[in-house]
This record gives sequence, C-alpha cells and structure tokens, in this order.
Amino acid sequence: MRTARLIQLFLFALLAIQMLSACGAKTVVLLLPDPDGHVGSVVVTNAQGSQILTQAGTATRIAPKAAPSPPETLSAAETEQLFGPAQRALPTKPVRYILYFESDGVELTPESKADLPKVLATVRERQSRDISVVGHASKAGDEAFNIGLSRRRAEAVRKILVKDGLPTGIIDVTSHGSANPLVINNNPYEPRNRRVEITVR
Amino acid sequence: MPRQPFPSTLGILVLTALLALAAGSALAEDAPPAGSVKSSTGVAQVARNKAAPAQLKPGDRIFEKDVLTTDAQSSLGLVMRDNSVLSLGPESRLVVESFQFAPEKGALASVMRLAKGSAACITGEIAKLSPGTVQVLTPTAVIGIRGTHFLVHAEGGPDMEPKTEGGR
Repeated sequence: MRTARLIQLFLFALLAIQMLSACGAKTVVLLLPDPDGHVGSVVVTNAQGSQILTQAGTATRIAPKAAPSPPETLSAAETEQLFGPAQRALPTKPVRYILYFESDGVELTPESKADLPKVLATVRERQSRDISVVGHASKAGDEAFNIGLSRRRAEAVRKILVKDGLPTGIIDVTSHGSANPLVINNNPYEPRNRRVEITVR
Repeated sequence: MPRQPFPSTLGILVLTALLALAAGSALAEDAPPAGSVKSSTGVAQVARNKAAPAQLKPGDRIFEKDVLTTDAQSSLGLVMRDNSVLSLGPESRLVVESFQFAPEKGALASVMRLAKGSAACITGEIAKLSPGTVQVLTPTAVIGIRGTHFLVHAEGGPDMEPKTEGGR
C-alpha cells in the first residue's frame, strides 16, 4: 500500500530528526533576500569562531563548542522543516503615509486631505490594530512653539482618523518638533518638513 | 515652634520615597511598547513581570523584557516599533532582552534571545540607523544583524533552558 509506505517514510524521517537533535543543542542561521531584492549580511559568532553570511540562500550551523560552519545551501526539505511555519507567520512590512500641512497651522494641504481615504483603506486591508501618528514641524520659528505645533498636527490627524471610525486605543500619538526633518536643507520653511507621518502596522 | 524638626524631616523623606516609588511604577507602565502582535495562531503567550503567561491576540502591545512562547502547531507574528517584522514558529521561546527606538535621543538597540524554536525576521529602522546594535542570541551563538531578512532555528539544549522554565 502506498499510504503504508508513506507512513513508514514519515516515521523514519521523525527518527532521523530525533537522532540529529540528540547530538546537542544547535543553531542554524539562514540569510534571505529582502522583499526588494537587496541582500544584507549577518555575522554569526561564538567563543570558537565567527562566520559571515552575505549570499542569499546560504546558511551556517553552530553546534556547542564548535565554530560556526562554512556557508552552505540547505535542502528545500530541511529549510521547510526548520523554518517553514515561522516564515509563513512573518507579517508584511508596515505601510507609511506622509501628510503635509499648510504653513504655521494644523490645516492639511488639499493633496494630503485627498490621501486620507487611502490611509483608511490600508488600515482596513491590513486589519491594523497598531497605528503610529508622529507630528513634525519645519525649523522656522521658536522650537518650543514647533514642539507644540507638531503635537497639535499629530493630534489633528488622530482626531480625523477617530472621526472616520478608528478606535482611539489603536492609535499612538507622538511629536518631534523640528528635530527629525524629512528634508535637510537651508530652507527653514521647507514645506516637506511640515508633516505628520502615519505608520499602519 | 510646636513641631519637632526631626519627625517632619522624616515625614518628608518617607513622602519622597513613596513619591519616587509611585513615579517609578508610573514610568514602567509608561515605557513605550517595543512592538505589537500582528497575528497569532494556536497557543502564543507572553509572560510579563512574573505574571502568569497570557494568550496574545492581534493588537496586543509587546514590551522590553517580555518572554514570548508558542506551543506546538502555533505561531506568532510581530511588528516592532522600528518597523522590523518578526515571527515565531511552533515550540519557540523568545525574550525581548533590549529594545530601544528613540532616534531623536540616539537610543537605538534591539537584542532578542531565541532560547528555542524558530524565528524569521526582516530588520527595520534600527538596523538601518545603527547596524551594530541589532543582535539575536541563541544558546550557541551571537548573531549580529547588518540587515535584513534572515531565519534562525535554535535547539534548546537540556542545560540551555532559561531558569524561568517551570520555575514558578
């Protein structure tokens, strides 16, 4: 019977896995490409040595009291067995929106007002329960005033989102005055720095 | 003067101590979250401040020092404050050893300890702004993350389990 053979194979695989893990605690690290295709690097170190991974799809194994093994490619079966469920549980990256303001106040520019439905659509689509609203001001004027202004901008956006039906409890509001400019130049009135950044997680 | 100076000084000291205690606990409560739960399946729990483990659901905030665990056939997906994303496979244990994300103060750090199980991660702003400060620790290795997308599997050896295991 085919199923009997499958079960036999499965039991054998289980036994093999158990025998492998009996060899002692072991770590496996695998490097993958980013969603945008870029490949980073990881450095794996213990008392016995160090190994750097820079190629997508390569892995190193670290057994106790042994240096990390040279980079290797894992089989698809082992990759699935070690990492499959974790990989499938990885959330997609949060989405960020930047809303801009008219000078010296909490009035959104017409373009940014038009972006609000997109923000709300993203919140619904991601079923987000965690939204950050961070207010910013340009360098123009006194910093104490800018801190207040950036807070009022963030608060204004929070109010709009709540009015549009989002629960208050899922929105975290912070403000940075002019300390974190989006654009760094000689223009203290830089309009792109008069903004609120919304992160939909 | 009807009052003795000494007891009033003592009173002020006691009051100061009480206020400091109150401020301390308020600070601890007000600590910004390190992240939040995006998804959970099966039994995915957090142990915080020596409280009994509690089931996690989407939207729950995660804090520094939280101990996150999953049972068999369970998983957990997190989005951290620096917009890194992180997940745990089944039978895993992850400790948020350190998480600092305040770029305006120069406070940037992310150290997670995977005591056992499996994790997937795509790093975020902390790795971008301060590449040397993102680490994952396992029972047999220190993993320095210069970015960005990686997987870790750690077998928890018999003598590698953290002392909190079963130690109520």
